[in-house]
Amino acid sequence: MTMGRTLLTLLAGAAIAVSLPLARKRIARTTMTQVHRINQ
Amino acid sequence: MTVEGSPDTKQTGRGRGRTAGEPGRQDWASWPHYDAAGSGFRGYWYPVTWSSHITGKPLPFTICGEKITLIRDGGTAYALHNRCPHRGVPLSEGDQQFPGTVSCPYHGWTFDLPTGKLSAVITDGPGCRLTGKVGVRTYPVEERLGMVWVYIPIADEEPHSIDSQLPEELVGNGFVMGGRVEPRGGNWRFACENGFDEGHAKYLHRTALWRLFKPMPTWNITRIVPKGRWIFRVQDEVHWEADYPGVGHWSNKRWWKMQPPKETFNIGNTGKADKINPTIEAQEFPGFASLSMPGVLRIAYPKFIHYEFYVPVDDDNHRYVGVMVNFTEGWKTLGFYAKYLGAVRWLFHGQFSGQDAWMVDVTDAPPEKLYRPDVSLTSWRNLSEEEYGKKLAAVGAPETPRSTRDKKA
Repeated sequence: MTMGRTLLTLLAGAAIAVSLPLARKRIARTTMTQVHRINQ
Repeated sequence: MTVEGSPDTKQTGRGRGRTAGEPGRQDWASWPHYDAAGSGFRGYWYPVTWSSHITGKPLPFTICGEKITLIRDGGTAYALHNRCPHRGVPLSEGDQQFPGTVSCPYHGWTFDLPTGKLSAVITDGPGCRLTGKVGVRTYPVEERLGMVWVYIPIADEEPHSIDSQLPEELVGNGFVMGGRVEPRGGNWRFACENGFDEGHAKYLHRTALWRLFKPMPTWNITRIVPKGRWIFRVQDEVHWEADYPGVGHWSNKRWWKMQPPKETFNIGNTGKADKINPTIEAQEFPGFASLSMPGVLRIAYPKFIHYEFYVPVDDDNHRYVGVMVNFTEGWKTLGFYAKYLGAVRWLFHGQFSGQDAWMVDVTDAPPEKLYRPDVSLTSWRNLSEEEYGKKLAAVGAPETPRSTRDKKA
């Protein structure tokens, strides 16, 4: 049971670690609105 | 502000563009360059899209009627004419097979990004005789304000510095900005005229959520003041309510809205500010709204400035680039991030600006019957006419290239 829970947690962590940067990249390439700091 | 040398300028003054029996102005013949600029004024830099949108995968855009493809290689963005000379396939459908190039998806014609020259034809082997002899047009590219800008030339002239075209206060000062880049329907001139239109905001935007707690004026007395390359709307009188003979009383004042100020003001449109951001104050803007070529609107509020860049696509479409700038640095920018992403992009650059998009899409002029506040429109047309005449003379180009009147004939 503990082993299964650990495996599930690891899998979930890996999925988040992979999907978050991909989602961020996707948003940066498609969003119509953005915020930027300029000359600072 | 008439332009000499063109047959169209022989007829001058108030009678031009008018037909006996028809009310108002029937055409824009009084402004031949402006009339001919249905697909935009060439010889300027235009913001196309956010820098982060341009990657190693080519994307298609149309600016001033020119079909271009934008692609990034080694961190640098490149713009090429979006048509393979072989069979006319858009290069934006292709991809990168070699560093520094883009290849047509059809037969592998491969073009050098900096020069546009054909550097290889994959399906004709290494000894292709066309290599180096044909190519596609390239366009100057710069990146400013987090966006990719492309210069659309009149002929083959060298572009002017992009910084000389940007609003002066955006060059050198530190700031944080939020913006929206959006394809919209309607001609770019309608969008530009709408932005500087003296009369529209008070009435069209009275229902905008952005103005839920602030009343809009009912009518103003406004004059247009030139300063440098800009024209400014200067408010001499601001009226918050009025009685219209025979129809009744009208005001945008409501019990839940703030009370309008008693003084006349020229920074911001709903009230006199107690404190103005020092960078904005230092600009000494004579008026709240200003406009410059090739269609750059600047609306100065006490704590931020809103800009709109109207990017011509073709006769029936434009790209709206709305930018809100706050001249703050350091940790204070976090507040702007929250405000912009949480509210401004939905309320101001969203619903409020969407009301403009609606009007621009359904405007159909000329013919037109202008009224007193439309001095803002005619002043802009006069400015563009004068500035573009000077620009054509500077590059030695013939007057009114690609006239829409010629096309109609």
